[in-house]
Amino acid sequence: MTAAGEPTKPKQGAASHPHPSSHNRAVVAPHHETTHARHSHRQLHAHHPGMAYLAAAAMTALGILLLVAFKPAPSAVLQVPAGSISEDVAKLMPALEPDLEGYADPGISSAQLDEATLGQ
Amino acid sequence: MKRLRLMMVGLAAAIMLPSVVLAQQTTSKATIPNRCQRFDVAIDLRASSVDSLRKARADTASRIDARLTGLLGRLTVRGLDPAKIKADQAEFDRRAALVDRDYDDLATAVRSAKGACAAAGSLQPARDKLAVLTSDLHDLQNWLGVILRVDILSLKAGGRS
Repeated sequence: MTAAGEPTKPKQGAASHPHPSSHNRAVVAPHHETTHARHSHRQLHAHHPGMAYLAAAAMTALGILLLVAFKPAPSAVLQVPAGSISEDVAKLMPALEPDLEGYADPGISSAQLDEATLGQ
Repeated sequence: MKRLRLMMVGLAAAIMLPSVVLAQQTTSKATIPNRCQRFDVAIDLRASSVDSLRKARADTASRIDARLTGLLGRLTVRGLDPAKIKADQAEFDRRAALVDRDYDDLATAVRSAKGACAAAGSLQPARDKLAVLTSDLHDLQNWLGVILRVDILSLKAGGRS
């Protein structure tokens, strides 16, 4: 509004739209068209957030599918042997028993030591 | 004639006597070193025997230790608590190392008797070490039967450590 009460007119050459958006700048310079396109793409996502969620979900599903398809083979350490611990012990004891027996015998006696002197 | 005979006997005695004395001296000189040598050879044999026994016992201990390690692995894989068997293995290793040292002490004591020519008491330190070894082995045998075997068999019975 002017002091006389007349409505203000836009200046000559100025954009009709007062908002300094890229849309208006794109009109001014042709090399801004790519920027304009990029901004438009962002705005697409901004305006359609469902698309972003859909893409994320698709990527996740693909990841899970790949993980299932190329699951790494479990290492030997992690493989649980067949049977139970009772069976393990049942197999172990017969092998262990001979070594557990006869420990008290030193393999040489005091008499055998004395043979060194008795044999003179 | 009689005089001649006496002279002949005297001459023979004069010739023979030094020979007999010399022979006796030679025999006694040969006997004493041989006796000491035989003793030293016997001591070497006993010491080697102790070394062999020590090695055989160490091999047995290694086998037992390896089997316990295998059992521990199976307990872990099956999600069972291996704490008790692990403690048993540590105790067994400690006792086996003690027996190992006893055999070393015995071998050293036997060898220390070398050169003593079977003198009285020369083997007493070896006898003392043998008594210590025998006592430790008895303790180990009892522990194997009463603790280790029971702990392993309780796994079979209860399915847990």
